[in-house]
Amino acid sequence: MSRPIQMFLVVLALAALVVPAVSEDLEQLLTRVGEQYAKGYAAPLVSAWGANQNSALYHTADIPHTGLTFAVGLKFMGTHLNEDDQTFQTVLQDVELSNFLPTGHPFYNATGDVVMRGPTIFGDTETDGTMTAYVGGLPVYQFDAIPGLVDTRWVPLAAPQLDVGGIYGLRASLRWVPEVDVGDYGKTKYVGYGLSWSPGFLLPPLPVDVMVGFFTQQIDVGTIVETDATSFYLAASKNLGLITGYAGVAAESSSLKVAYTFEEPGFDPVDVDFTLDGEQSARFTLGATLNGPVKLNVEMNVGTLAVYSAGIMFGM
Amino acid sequence: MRKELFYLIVLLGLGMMLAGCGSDSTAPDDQLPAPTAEDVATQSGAMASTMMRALPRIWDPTTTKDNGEYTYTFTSGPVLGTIMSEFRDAEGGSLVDYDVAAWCRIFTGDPLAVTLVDGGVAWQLGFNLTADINQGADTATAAGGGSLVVGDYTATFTLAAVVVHQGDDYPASGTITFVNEGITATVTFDGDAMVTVTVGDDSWTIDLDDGSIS
Repeated sequence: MSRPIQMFLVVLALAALVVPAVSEDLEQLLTRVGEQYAKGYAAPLVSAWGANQNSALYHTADIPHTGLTFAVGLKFMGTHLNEDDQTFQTVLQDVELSNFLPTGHPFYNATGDVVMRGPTIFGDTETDGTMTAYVGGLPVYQFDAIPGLVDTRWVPLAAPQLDVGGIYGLRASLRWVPEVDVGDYGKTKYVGYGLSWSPGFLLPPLPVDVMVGFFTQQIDVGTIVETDATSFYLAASKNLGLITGYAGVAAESSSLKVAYTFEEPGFDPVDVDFTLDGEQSARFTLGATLNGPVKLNVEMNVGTLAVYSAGIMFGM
Repeated sequence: MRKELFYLIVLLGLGMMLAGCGSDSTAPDDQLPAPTAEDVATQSGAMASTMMRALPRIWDPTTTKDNGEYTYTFTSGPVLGTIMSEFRDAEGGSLVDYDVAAWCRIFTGDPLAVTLVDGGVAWQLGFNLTADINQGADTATAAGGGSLVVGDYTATFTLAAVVVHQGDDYPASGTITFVNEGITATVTFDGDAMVTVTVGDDSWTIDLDDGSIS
């Protein structure tokens, strides 16, 4: 077996092992907090993960009109979060406290304010957050919530990608990680696909190659988290021989669906099911590809979030 | 090949520098709800009730004593924790026993835990006061300040000329100014358990025995 294919399989195996472990830890944490807390806690995850998924989608705008091309490789993305994304504070005003207090609490049927604060999923793993309920400005109940899952400002993602193109300027792309059964937590999978079109053969000669396209992807993490990400992009590239420079703009979206059961002693169990949208809706991409039998590319993406990515592709 | 790879890495580095502005924050960062005047008045009631328990330690400071330095520990009731005091023959003078002192400092190390709301969260109250003592008249006049952590809020307070008579349960006169989120409440002592707190044009009555307002 060739070395590149061996490396490819190793990365696939690692992805298959790591994601279920994260899934299990995340489920254990989330079941200790309610929906509103979970929304604040997971907010940076949806934005970062969505931004990662929508990165490294292409490495050139040059798609042949004729002549089948085929490439397979790996894409690596990393979102560098703002320091403030390691903590959150969510305030709910004039809410029914029965949704936040243990059964039988003296203020169970009262209306008041709730302040939730603490580390996000990417915050301090040694410090618990808090949920404090207020009636008339006085704290009547405080609950120790959950710590961060991973203390980091870098959120990475890796994805294998297959490109097939060369017919009328079209190129289809596929991202896929094998489905893994995580026992009680369901199955984890990653699948995405996209289509790019370079209309160069229809246009008068231009100094650069141009391309439009879209990509949509989904990652399911066990039964508790599903993420969707979609990007529509316009890109241009210039082949300079050994190096191809490229740039693009994109409109994008991402969402995170979370489902679990809140189960904490003293509280009524609650089924939690909500969807969060990622904050990033547009980006500018700048990158370069080293041409050869193996194509190496690096790129930076600037939008609401800063995402850096790299790729290695084998094939034509 | 290595050379080209080097250029790619340099390009990425330049890109990272260009993007030096970094990511915007995406996690929620809501502002705390602004307390009302009545909320702040209620908080000042809890603070005043606690100070009413602490100030008599000028005349009865002892749980333990070490050469003019005393500790007193609240072990039950709505206030828990330890206050410390030191007694001197004058401000900046020598340590003496409390019953001959002309000056004292009374303060907290770890904040006191104050629980006045049924089922509620313990508030954290810390202070650092000084008092001039008139042993002949059995009076002490206290001043100083402290802070009260109420859930996610931190309020500050300042005592001015609070007079405490030996043997009396309640301060005879003086004021405490209490500030939380820009709202100021003023508590005025009058020797009685029921004292007045004012916030702007509004006023309430504090029951010093339980800290409640009406």
